[in-house]
Amino acid sequence: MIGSRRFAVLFTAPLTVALLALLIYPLVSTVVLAFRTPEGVVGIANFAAVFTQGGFGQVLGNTVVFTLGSTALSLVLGFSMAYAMDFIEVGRRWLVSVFMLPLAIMPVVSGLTFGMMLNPALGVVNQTLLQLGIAGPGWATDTTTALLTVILIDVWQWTPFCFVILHAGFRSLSSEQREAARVDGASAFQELFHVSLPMLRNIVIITTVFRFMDAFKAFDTIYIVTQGGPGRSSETLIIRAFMEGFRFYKPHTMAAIGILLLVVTMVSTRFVGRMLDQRSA
Amino acid sequence: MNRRKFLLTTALAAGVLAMPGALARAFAQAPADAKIDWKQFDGTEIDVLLSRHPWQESIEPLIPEFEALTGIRVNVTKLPEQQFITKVSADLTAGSFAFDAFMTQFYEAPKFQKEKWTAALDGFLADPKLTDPAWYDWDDFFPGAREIATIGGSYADRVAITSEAQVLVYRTDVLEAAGVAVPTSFDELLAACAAIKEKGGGVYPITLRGGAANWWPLYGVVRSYGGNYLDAEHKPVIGSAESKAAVDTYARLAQFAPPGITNSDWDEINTAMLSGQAAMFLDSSVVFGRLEDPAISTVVGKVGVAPFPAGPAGPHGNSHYWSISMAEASQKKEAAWLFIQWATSKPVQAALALKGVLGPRASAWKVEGLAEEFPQQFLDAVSTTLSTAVIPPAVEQFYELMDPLRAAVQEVILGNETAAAALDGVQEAWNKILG
Amino acid sequence: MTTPIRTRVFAYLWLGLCVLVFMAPIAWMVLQSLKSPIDAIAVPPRFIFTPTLDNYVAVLTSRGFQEAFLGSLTVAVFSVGIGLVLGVPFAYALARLPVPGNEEISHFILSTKMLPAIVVIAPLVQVYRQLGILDTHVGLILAHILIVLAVIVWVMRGFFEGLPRALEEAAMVDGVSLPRTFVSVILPVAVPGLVTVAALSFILSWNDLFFALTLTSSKVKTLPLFMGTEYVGFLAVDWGKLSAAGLLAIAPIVVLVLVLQRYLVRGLAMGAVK
Repeated sequence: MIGSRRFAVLFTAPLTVALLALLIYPLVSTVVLAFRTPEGVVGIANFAAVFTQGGFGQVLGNTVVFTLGSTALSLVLGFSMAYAMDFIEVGRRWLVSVFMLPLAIMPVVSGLTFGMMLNPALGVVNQTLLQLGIAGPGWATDTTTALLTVILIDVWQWTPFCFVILHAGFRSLSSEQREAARVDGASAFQELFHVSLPMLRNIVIITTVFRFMDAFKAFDTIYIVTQGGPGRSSETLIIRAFMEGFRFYKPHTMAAIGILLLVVTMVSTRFVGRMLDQRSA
Repeated sequence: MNRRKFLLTTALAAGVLAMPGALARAFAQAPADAKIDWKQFDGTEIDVLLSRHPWQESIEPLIPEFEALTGIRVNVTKLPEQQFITKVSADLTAGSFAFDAFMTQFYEAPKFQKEKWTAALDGFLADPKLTDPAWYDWDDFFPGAREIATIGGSYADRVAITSEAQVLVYRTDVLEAAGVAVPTSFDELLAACAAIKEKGGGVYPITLRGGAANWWPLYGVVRSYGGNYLDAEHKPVIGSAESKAAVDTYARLAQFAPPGITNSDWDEINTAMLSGQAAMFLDSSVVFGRLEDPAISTVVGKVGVAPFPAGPAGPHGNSHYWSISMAEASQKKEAAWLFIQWATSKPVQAALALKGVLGPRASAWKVEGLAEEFPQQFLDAVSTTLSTAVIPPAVEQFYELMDPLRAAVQEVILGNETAAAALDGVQEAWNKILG
Repeated sequence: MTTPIRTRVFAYLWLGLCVLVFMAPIAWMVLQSLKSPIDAIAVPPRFIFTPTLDNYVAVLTSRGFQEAFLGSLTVAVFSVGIGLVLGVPFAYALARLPVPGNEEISHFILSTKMLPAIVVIAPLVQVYRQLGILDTHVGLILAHILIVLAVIVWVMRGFFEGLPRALEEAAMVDGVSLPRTFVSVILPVAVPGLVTVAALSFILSWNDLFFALTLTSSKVKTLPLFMGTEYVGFLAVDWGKLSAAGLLAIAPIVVLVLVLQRYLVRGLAMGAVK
């Protein structure tokens, strides 16, 4: 390994300690809250209450669908865009700026705008579809399409995130190895899978992890567009947690859901971390 | 005093009284008349948190008058309702609430009082150094408004600042074209919707709130059918036959609404009316003002208002009173109380009424010049409704109870469930929540 | 790399389609921002109307907007700046140096992104209160550093790990110390990554609403809070002004991205390793 322990500690210790100091109380406090009922009884009563609450199955299902759906879609889309950028020269800079815009717009503004655009009666999308003779769906107002709608909006907003990181990744790949592969007669497809992707492996994994973690607790978009409705069709765990804590004044339940979210995220990233650890020495 | 001086003084007084603004003020005594020392906290600074609301919009320009009167500086923070609720909730729970006075809704009163987040106002009301009871006139408030002050169950922790009633707002031209009279009952309302759908020329007969707050307009319907959310002992009766009939009616009305009402809140129903898309709505009187604003409304002059229709149990529209409370954590309670007193006093309420915000004081409704602000029809509709109006029962778990109800109503509107089945589910959920 | 015409055409087509999809809502926002109130809520929605710049004028001349803009800019610049200064060396250490508890620390940093702000805000506010940084710029900057740190550390760590060790080895052989190597050899090559995380971090800080709402009361003003408050009224959204403000708010980001892009290209030129 390069370098000495001295630098290692110097570069990392101060920050780690500072973060710990700041976050230790909130973390511990949340854990304590989660394992104590309002009456002071220690145990898993809060978790039991969360699981047995009406509609929990639906909420859990929504969370899974939303997380996996949004992560997969934004990743694939972002990747395809980053890959395509590799083949063009003219206008690349402008394209990157343009693709950043959805992420740059404030979630409050884009959420409200989408909400209005997708309003089945008043919104521009359905009205335009009407002109073309198509009856537009209920989007965010119908239980069958609400979840899909918020997924699509989330994908719209966060694909730029994936795109930008992956684009930078592609840009920093050495072109020699890729050229060599092409010269050797590999098709673009083969080149992508056998040369580029392995080199991009870590970046792709990290992007996926971040997207996954964000999608898992994505709040703003869903809250602004549907508030989890109609019914519970777009309600995810984080929305439920918010309601419990901020509307129903049940901080213990909110803490329990929070711990649940934390545990799931930790487990899945541990798993991913193992994969990352298999990096070449 | 000689005759000349007497005549002069009288003429002057008459002249002053003749001025419209002064008339309103003379009718409701000016703050200077109150027998308290307004300046006793001169130099203090207080922080006030308000939710975006017509009341907030109208009172903000008047606050400099309070500052001049008392020498107290008022820092106003205002947030749209959703963020307001989030902030209040977060700050109170964390114990970091930094405001002295804030707007409140009475649904949270039981919880706030249990946690001692709001300060008791009884003491301030009774203190002759801080309040002039004759000038303030607590009895001037409507009975309902006075009731919500103590609705938390333990002490008086809020003063009402607005009064709203659930009324039926309709397009006069559309109803005429469809040949329907103004509905006075739910049966008539449904019939009117059907008629408008047939002959209305593309206009949607009605629009309703079906979104997160659908429980509010629903309550008036439920009570008018003889049902209720909770009975007198706060036991759930949402599963009663009457409640089910009410939800069924609400869902049937919703079928006549523009698509997407399961997400509609103020903005959507307002826009639907303003743009001429919908012909009626059955919700709070507070939205009426915008409809007559030519800058944004396409239906100025074509809007009528009627009292809440009658169900089998009579007409019992829902009503609402926003209120203002004092934070228990406040370090400047007396100064905050002066602000609250001033903001809810007769002259200020009268001034607000003339700006289009109806208050919970009887005197504010009789202010000279009110007729220019509100058509008499509107005032009649609101006061008629208020005479038989109801307010939802406030319990500690109020918002937690409303959530499954809201979801159930949305499912019924979308046709995913029958009213009967849905409400049975809600009844069960409520039994569990209330233990 | 010489690309066949066909591939290039496909690439442009696909990217063009993506541009359409991603820009459509923004184009709609532009239209809305040029409409008068009555036009903005017209049904059916209007594409033809008399445009007006009133909304933009109203937003730009509003004191609140100017204050909030400045506030957001201050917080974002400091958060990103400090975040980079702290996070990039940190990332490098995790990637290359024998840090005790490397995996644990890495996961700890990542976990700051795992716990939803919503859940921990109450105790966090209490901590802030103890430290006396509630409703201060410092407090908000701190919170934003928290938000961006995980992204900076993990993405840069990924980039650093992808760099061939030959780079450092060559420099070290020449007797250059580690810090110097880091600054003059590694950083220039890592520029694409740096530029990316800088832009992303800026956006994350710029758009934060929740911390601004819960950690500040009246003294600190940021754009998301202002826009959500000013143009989202009780009964309706002021679409014209909200759209105008929303579009004006992305101006700094667009500028930033355009400027940073230049460095993206330059870093590339130095990045080729023989």
